[in-house]
Amino acid sequence: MVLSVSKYFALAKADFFEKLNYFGTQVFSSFFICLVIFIFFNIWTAIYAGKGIIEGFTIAQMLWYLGVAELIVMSSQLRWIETISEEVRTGIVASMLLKPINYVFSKLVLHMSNFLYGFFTSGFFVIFVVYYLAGPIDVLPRAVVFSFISIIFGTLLNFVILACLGFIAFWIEDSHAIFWIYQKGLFILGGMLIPLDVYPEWIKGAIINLPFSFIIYNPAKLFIQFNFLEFLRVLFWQLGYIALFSVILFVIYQIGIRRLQINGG
Amino acid sequence: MIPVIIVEGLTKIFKVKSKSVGFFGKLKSIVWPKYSDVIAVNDVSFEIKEGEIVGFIGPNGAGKSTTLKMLTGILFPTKGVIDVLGFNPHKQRTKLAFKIGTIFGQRQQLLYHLPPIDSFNVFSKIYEINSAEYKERLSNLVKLFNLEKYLNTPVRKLSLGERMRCEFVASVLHKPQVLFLDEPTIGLDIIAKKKVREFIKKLNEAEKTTIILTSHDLDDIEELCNRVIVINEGKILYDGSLDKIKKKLKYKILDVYFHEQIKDIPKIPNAKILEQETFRIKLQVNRSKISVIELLDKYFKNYKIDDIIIEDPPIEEVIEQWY
Repeated sequence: MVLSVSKYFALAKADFFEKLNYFGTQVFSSFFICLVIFIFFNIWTAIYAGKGIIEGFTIAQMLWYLGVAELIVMSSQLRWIETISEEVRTGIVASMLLKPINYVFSKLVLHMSNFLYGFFTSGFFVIFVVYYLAGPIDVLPRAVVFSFISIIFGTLLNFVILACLGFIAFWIEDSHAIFWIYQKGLFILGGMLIPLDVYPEWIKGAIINLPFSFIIYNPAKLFIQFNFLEFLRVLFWQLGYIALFSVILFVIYQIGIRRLQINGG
Repeated sequence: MIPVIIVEGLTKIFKVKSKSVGFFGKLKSIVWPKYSDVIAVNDVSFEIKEGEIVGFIGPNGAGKSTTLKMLTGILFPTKGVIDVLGFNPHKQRTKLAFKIGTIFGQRQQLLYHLPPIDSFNVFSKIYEINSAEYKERLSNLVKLFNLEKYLNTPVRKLSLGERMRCEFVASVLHKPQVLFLDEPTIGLDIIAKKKVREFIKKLNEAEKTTIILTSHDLDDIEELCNRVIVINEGKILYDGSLDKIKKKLKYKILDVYFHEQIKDIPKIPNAKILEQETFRIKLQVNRSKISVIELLDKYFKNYKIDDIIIEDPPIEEVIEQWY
């Protein structure tokens, strides 16, 4: 069976062991996140001078939000757009068709395992640094659990969008520009640099329900200001977007593969 | 014997975008792209029986790899019928994937930073091989390929030859009935090539695996294939034994070693001197005009000869005659 779980688990396990060869690199990138958080700490300390709360966030909540948002982005393997398009261009996709395995599914599993690996290794450093700089905030255990679920669904959504963009390589040769635009879109519209609440109301209204915010802003905000109804609302939007982009992905992939099978690599 | 591959009237036409020259030409080709047809495979028919080793030979762009890709199901044919082990490859690609193995010489399937054993474990899961069967199979293949000492070395630290042997093991773990090899010895040194060829032979003998091979290294073809299909511009020019091609040869290579110094070699019609040394001469003899015996008798009867070697010309030259 092409969709048997054990083969994808074996792939993810092997990929995890392969990643362990570069554990030092992962630790180094974790230091980079800590540096970014330190810069945010200084900027927001200046912004918060004399103010207790900005748009519903205390400075500690703001830093914890930015820590989680940064962690999501750094673990998200945005370069997958380029990886997938490279595999389309070099014909690796075609050679994967020779194996009894689903290419998109295998990429999804690897994407998730890479995300979890990055999230947990860097997470350790992020918690340490944010705790040291901002101190503790009141977080309910269920907030941790449900925001993590939300982060996972956000990552799934990120994957289907990345895969859609990566498979455009069936038609265009270089996906670098697409990667660049998507990355910047995610940083600005997804709430990695500042929470969307800080934007002027009309901008916030325009971008709050875009898919970007369900990858970073909403899951990260659930961590610091948990509300079960809000969790359900976010999950509803995430599932809706995942379904929508999965349909688009399915269509792009089928047309692309057919094109490959008709016109060669 | 039962045919495992049946191909009838197989044709593949690619649509290729014609590029226009100059700025406006390029602009025009974006707005109104023009396509032209390129016939990669043209009405090809053949059958391959169980246990055969068939070599596909031809120049670059002849249609060898395209044919192979259609047989494996990753390319749709434009026209024609393909039956591989009872499956229609492009409609039943996934089912067929369990029965066939592939090696594309320029593509790596092993996990680069991990030892081969980890890749083999992953492949055993992908091909859904049961655990006991996998252990036995792996142990046999490791012995066959002398891979014991490399099993736990990261792939990146293996030589190209060692890596290629591991690639073979990964491709045949699931006991494929048909093995497609596209340039399997590309980039390997002579010793590694020899080992790969030995393995292909052993596999074919031990498991009756049908092997379809494309190679630019004609030694691969000579050593392995009992049948060759010569293909050029998408058409089959010849399908039969290598010996038959050789029999059609006009030339033989005659290497004569003399006991004494040779001098005053007369001009020999219908023979071309390829090499000449003090005690040796190498000739290309047009045997349709003069037999080797006749030549020796007519031109070298006054010399004491130590040794004579009669060879076929290199297979490259044989194939050149077809192109």
